[in-house]
Amino acid sequence: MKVKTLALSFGIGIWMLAWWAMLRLEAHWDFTNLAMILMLASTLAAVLLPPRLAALALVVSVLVFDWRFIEPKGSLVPHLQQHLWFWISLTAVNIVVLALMAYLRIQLVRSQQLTAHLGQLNQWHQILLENQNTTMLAEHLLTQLTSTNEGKQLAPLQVALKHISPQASSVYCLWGAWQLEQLAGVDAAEAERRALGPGTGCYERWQDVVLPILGRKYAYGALVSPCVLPDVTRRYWQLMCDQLGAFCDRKRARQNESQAIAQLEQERTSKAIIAAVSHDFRTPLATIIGASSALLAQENQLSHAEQQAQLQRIYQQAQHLSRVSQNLLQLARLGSDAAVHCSWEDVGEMVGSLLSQLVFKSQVHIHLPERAQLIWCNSVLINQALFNLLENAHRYGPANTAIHLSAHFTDQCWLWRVQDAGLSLTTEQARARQKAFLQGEEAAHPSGVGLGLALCEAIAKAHKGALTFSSEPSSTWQLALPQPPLPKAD
Amino acid sequence: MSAEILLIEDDADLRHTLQAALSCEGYRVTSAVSLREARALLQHRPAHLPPWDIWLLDLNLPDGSGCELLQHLPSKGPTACIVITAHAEEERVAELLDAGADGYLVKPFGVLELFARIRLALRQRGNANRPLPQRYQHQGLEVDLASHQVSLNGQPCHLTPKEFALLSCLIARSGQLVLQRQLLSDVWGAQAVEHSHYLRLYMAQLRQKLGDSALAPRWLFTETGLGYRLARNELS
Repeated sequence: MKVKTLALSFGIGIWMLAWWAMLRLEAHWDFTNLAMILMLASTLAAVLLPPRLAALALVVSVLVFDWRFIEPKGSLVPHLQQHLWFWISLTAVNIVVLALMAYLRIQLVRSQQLTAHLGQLNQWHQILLENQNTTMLAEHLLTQLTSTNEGKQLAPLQVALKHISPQASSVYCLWGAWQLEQLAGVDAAEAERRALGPGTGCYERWQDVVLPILGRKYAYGALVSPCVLPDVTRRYWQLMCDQLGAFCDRKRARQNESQAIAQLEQERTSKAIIAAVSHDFRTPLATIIGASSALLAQENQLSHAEQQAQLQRIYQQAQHLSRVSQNLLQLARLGSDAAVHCSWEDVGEMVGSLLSQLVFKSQVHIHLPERAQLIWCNSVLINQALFNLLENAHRYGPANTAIHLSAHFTDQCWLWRVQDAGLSLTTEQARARQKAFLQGEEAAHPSGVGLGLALCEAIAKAHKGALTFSSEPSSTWQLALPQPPLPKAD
Repeated sequence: MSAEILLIEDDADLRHTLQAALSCEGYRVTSAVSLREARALLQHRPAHLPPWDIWLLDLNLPDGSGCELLQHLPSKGPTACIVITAHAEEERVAELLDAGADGYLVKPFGVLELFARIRLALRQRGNANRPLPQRYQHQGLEVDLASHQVSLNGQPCHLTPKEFALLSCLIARSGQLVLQRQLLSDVWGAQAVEHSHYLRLYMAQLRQKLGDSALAPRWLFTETGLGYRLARNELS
């Protein structure tokens, strides 16, 4: 603003100085020499004054020059034809100079505007790189646009942006004061894939200028201005909208990629679970079918004791089958991200209840803190995890040897350990088995423990804990459950 | 005379297996395969015959949930109902018990467990109209609810009011599962149903004073994720 006032003052000053000089030199100089001063003043004033004011000053000056300095003085009509031509030439040269100067000044303003736009575009690009939140980006866009003088003049602006998701969304988030019918303009701009409204050459009668936010294939919303936009501003704003559209495209592509990876992972896990389940179901079923068919076919050949033994096998395998199906059901529930309901439980009570379910309880040695202790967990799930670990130790560990179940509290964490006397697995084998099961490799569960371990792992994760294995000094599975602070006793 | 059982189960194999096992045990069994058939049997039961002693009711029936039939079960009548369910979550069990069921069996189950549940349900229905017990006795533990006296092998045992209230709640339903929400509500009030740590701490104190063990319980049994059960009163 100050620069403009200064330029105006200088321009007027130059004209005044020129006129002062011409009047002083009138007595000594010929009017043709005085015309040089007029030309010099006109050229300099064209640089400093606004074009219209410079033109006005020029017209007034040449007329006054003619009236004051060209014979007959005090008249606008020269006597001599050569004086008339001189005056016409003087006026023409000054007009050409003025026009050239005006043109240069317009180009200069445009160049400055373009440089500013370039800087803003660069800034916008940086914002798009640094921010991932579309809500923030819409707000950034409005701030960027209204931070310039032209933006302030054209405000209030409005933005409609769709929620970005792998599936096409038609739900808009809106910024600014919207009216329902304005959304029809957004839909139309998206469908036409071009700007619409006054001055755009499309839907000229529409009340707003609507600039669509376009990706390569999808449209994500629009920027709406209630004012007619200058051509340069409209093109520049459309460029910013296009950049936002490209960002939305990238974000959507990333989402699609993540979804595809998750789906692939889920498919692999499902395959692994089906393979494990198939194995875990077939083994007891084979015994049940074998024993029952033997009973049916060989009823007369089998002694009463042999028949009882076969029935016992059928009963035991059916019990095992029941546990496998229970594991599978629980795994499916945990896999569906259902919230796990936890409460404060007594460690001793949990172990007592667990022991009452074990057929091989005489093999199990318990190591618990002497006093009753509270643990924050889902007792049904932890019971199932410990049962699986104990049963695995019983089935696959050395026969008729002690299995140790211990629980102790350390570093805000309850550590449950199931240790068998032998080396049923090495650490590497256990890790490989866990990892391979989770990655969907069928070979990972040759002995049918995959499903049980997967469930233990899922239960540990559901409690934000971990299941780990160590082979030192003998096979030990550890279930770590982080704990919140104990509640205050009222 | 042996008890009469109405078995409502749609799975033919399970129905035949249970029917055979129950008949073998001396129960008289009538079976239905759907809600509709069960309703028809209940409506057309000859007036001179007494109601069934036990309903064995599967929840998942082809024409609806077995729960609908529980509405026809008189709460103080002679008929007990045991529900066969595939779910053992506390909320589900609580719903069934509130709806009028006397017990539940979670699939899969063995016939020995079934017989035990039937015996328990018959005992409970027999005791249903009797006043609440004033005395409890089991393996040396004696409790006189009227005088607030507790003795263990003849030696007096001092309990705090809360511990006594907890024990009283369990005595009122000895031999049956009492849900932990029920215990918390009865002893500490409805606002304390989520404060399971109260129950754990007081139950541990009670066990300690009675010399009971959580690992090998004599009187106080834990039903994981559901609640507690006090050993059956020898006086009932």
